[in-house]
Amino acid sequence: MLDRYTGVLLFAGLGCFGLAFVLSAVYPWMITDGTRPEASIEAVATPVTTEFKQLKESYPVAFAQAFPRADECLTDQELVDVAADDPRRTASDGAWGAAHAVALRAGRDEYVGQVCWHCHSQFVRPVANEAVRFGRVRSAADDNNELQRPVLWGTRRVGPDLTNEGGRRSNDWHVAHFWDPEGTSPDSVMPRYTWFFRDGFQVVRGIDPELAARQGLSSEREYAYPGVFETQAEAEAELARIRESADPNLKAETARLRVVPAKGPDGDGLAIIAYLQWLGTWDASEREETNQ
Amino acid sequence: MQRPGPLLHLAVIALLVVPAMLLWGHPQEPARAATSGRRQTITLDEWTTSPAAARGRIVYDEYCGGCHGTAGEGDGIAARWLNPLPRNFQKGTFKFRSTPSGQLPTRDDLDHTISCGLTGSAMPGFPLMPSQERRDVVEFVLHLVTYGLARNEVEYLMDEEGVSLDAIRSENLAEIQEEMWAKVATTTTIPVPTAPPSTPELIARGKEIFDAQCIHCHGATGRGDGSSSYALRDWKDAEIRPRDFTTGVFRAGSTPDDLYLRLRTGLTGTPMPAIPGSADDIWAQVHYIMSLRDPTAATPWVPSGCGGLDPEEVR
Amino acid sequence: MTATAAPAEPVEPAKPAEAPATDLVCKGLVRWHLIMAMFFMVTAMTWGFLVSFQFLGVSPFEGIEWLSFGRLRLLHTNEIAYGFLVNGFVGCMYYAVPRMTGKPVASAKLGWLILGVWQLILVLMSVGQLLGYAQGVEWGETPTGFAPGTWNMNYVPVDFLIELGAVLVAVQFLTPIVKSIHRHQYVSLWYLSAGIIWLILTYVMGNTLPEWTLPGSSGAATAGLFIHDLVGLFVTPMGWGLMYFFVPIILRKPIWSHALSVIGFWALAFFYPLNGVHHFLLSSIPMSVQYGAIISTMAVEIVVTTVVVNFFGTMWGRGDALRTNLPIRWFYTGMVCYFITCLQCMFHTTLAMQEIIHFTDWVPGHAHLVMLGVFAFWILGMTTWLWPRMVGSEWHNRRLNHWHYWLTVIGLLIMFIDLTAAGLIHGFMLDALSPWMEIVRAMHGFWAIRTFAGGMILLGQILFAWNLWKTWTGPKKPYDYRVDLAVAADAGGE
Repeated sequence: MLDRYTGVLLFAGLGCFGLAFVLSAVYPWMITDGTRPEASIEAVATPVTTEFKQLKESYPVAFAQAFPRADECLTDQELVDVAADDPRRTASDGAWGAAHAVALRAGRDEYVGQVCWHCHSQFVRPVANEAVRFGRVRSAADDNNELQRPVLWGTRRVGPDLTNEGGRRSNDWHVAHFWDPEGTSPDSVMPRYTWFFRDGFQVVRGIDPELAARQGLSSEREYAYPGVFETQAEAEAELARIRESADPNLKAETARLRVVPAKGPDGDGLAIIAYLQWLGTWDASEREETNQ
Repeated sequence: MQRPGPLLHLAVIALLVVPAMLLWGHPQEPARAATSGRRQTITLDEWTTSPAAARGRIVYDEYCGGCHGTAGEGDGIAARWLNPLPRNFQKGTFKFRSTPSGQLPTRDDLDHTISCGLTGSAMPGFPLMPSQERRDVVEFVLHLVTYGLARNEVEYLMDEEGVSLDAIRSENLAEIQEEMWAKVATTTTIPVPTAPPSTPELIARGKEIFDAQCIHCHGATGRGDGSSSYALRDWKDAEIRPRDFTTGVFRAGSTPDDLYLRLRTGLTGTPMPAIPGSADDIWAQVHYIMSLRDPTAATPWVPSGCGGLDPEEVR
Repeated sequence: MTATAAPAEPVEPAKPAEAPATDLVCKGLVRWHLIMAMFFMVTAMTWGFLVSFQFLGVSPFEGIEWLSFGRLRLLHTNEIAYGFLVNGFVGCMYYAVPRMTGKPVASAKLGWLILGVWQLILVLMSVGQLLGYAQGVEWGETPTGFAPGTWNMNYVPVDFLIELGAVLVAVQFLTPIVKSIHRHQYVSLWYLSAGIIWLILTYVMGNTLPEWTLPGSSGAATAGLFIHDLVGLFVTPMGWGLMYFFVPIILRKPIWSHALSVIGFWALAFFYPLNGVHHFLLSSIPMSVQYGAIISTMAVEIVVTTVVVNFFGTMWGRGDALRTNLPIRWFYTGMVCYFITCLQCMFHTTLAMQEIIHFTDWVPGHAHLVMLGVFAFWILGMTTWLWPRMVGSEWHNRRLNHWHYWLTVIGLLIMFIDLTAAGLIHGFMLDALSPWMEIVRAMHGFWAIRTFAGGMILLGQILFAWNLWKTWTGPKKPYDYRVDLAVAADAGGE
């Protein structure tokens, strides 16, 4: 007897689909994000995280290659001689924002492309003691930005939640962890991300042999200078520069400088670290009153 | 019709066995590095150990050995990437203490560092580790510290006084042990008086002292960019940078009480000395340092009770 | 596999004796779609098996970016969804739709085009995902296409091609359905035609809105809607429709209640799409929407009951088929899994259970039970029944089919119980604030068992795929259509 109504099948089916779409997609949008446009990457990147600035100090070569206008981003070291009203300071702020935006976009793309979001969530719920373990509960305003499009809440936690990861660990920790997660977290099942690293040459300084003997340290200990260069010649040039510009008190130790093969994070590695260090640091509080 | 051959049965058996082998082959017993490959000396295993330290050693291998190394010499497999380097426990040099310069930290100090981590360094906090396990790890760390100090003593006796290792083992070791553990037992805690409220006058006074004593390293604006800031070396000859106060992030807690202790005790092994002067002077400097925080800087999330600044308060 | 006598199938003279399919059915298309389905089943499961070793601390391809854990895990789910399920459903529809409508599909040439285009899409999708151009939408990670920026894999518009392929499939199968609209429309045709149209709509919605328009919580609501629409408005109606067609055919008796199946259809259409948000409960999506999703999820259980009741009603009095007829056994097992899955669904959608089991291995356990245990089992049942008819030959080795069945079913059972237990332990440890690494260490044993179970399932599929291939390419043997894989006949044949 229902055969007569076969013709309405299509319309009814479409109707149900449409109803669900309105109730589960349009309605939530209207009462959460619909009232405010999403924040652009440029906007959320404006407060540059301390860790991002530290990335330039620790890995200047990869940083310069990965991010545009990196040479205008002045680090604390470079700002020492720049006066407070010097236009270079303003230019530096703009360059930092631009580089940070590029890094966040690239880092998000890595986060999606390496499929981090299948094992890590970005979604702290107000239950199960999650706020104690992972920090502040996620609000709708926190996610109303371009980096959460498509949304990266995730549905599985093989690894911990990353909502409030920014600033919790140092860049070094992340570098060590990407190189070998079992180093920083024994028994971790996370894969190694060795392709975030590249080979090159680095300037190192051997330990003062006298001090090593006095402190009972190995005399073969070496301390690396920032920057992993692609060619040995570039590293040699850097060595010469360090020797040239060394503090008068430190002239003696420049004799112990030498160039060694080394590894360091590449642009992708820096981008994803910048993204991780940004997570949870964007302050959405002024957007919150419009949301429920 | 063919019957499935023995190949199939073999395949099924292999399927059963291979994952099982992987499972039981998996837990990696960390190869315990000989505590000193360089010379003959007392070993970590012959050093007195308490049940707590023995339990702590298991936890230590699971959480700490990757960076600090299985013998606590700061040479774990992750250490090559880290700056500052992981602490070498055997040297007994600790930056963050509540005890006067020259003393070992208290058990509570170490426990605080383990549970809260050192913000901005690669040392994460372990706030969810059961407190009993943390206490056990502290015991094992102290075990490593006393062992390292004793080793120095033993090597001194061997080198300078020509005593043989066997003789030390039979005659001096008990005494050395007593001496080393006495160092742990006799720490004194510096009291932290109640912090006075931050006032403009106090901050101005703090700035006065700061400008006179601190700006060579920490810089006029507190960014850690003073004139000598790029020529500093720590006790291991590694480059070390003064703290940038504008970030408002401090390794071992950002509350006034934490900063008071950092100033009072100094950071052993670094160019940062213990600051003399009255408590009021210290508080003035603490409040001045806290006033240098850039209000737009991000406040990283830290577990409760770990000296994080309340985001509502700093906003 | 004991040897008993007597063939299983009584011949009913009232119905036309089942003959090899006529020209109505293009057997080549059925064959190739089923072969490709099995190909992608085996590859996808191989990826799943390999990446499961990562959980045991063994990287299968250490240091190779494009074969890294995340990339292969993507292929595991996407090749099952778009490779195995779509190929399997389309293959079975090439048999079912012409026989139900009495009209051939739109065009055999179009069929070969669809076959080729779809496999090309799958290759492009796999390559794109391996190279890191996944889209950040769960179950829709196919590269987007048309991405701004420098030249990269995103310029290969896989999303668009899938959409195009779906439209071609719709043209292919809606043509005979529309042509026969004046005839009695069996409920399977309702399911199948609705499923195709919903696939097109769902795919457009899920792959555009979260990517281009809706950020954050509203994007999550849409992504949840997409995940669930894909399961509920494509896989489910396809599976139900084909089940309602094949089970009566195999059993040679009519469906228990046509009315119940029709009620099931409308209830499915109404309740299923409202479920979407239950993937993100206790989130910043408005609570009213979350409550709505919970209630409609529970309502879906009632809908599912119509199917379960209808199936067991049809089975009533034919329990012997379970013993003698492998395809029916697949359907029966799938139906039991379906009941468990949906019952589980009803309970774990509640907020109290979400608090514990969300983010844990419970969810993969549930997903494997529904995707493998229900819909894949049904497709395997249909394939087992169709294959000798499509290639016109007796099975190369019947015993392998039984190995296939038992390895798969026991493997799945182990995996399901293991992951469910692991999920509960994980969830309670999270709640109890155990240190993270303690939880990971507690999971190691469960993960090892999961790898083992996965290996069993994979081995079963390899045996089956090999048997399919040998049956097709090997020497043709006459097939007795009255006997459907009866163990008795197997023993008797030797």
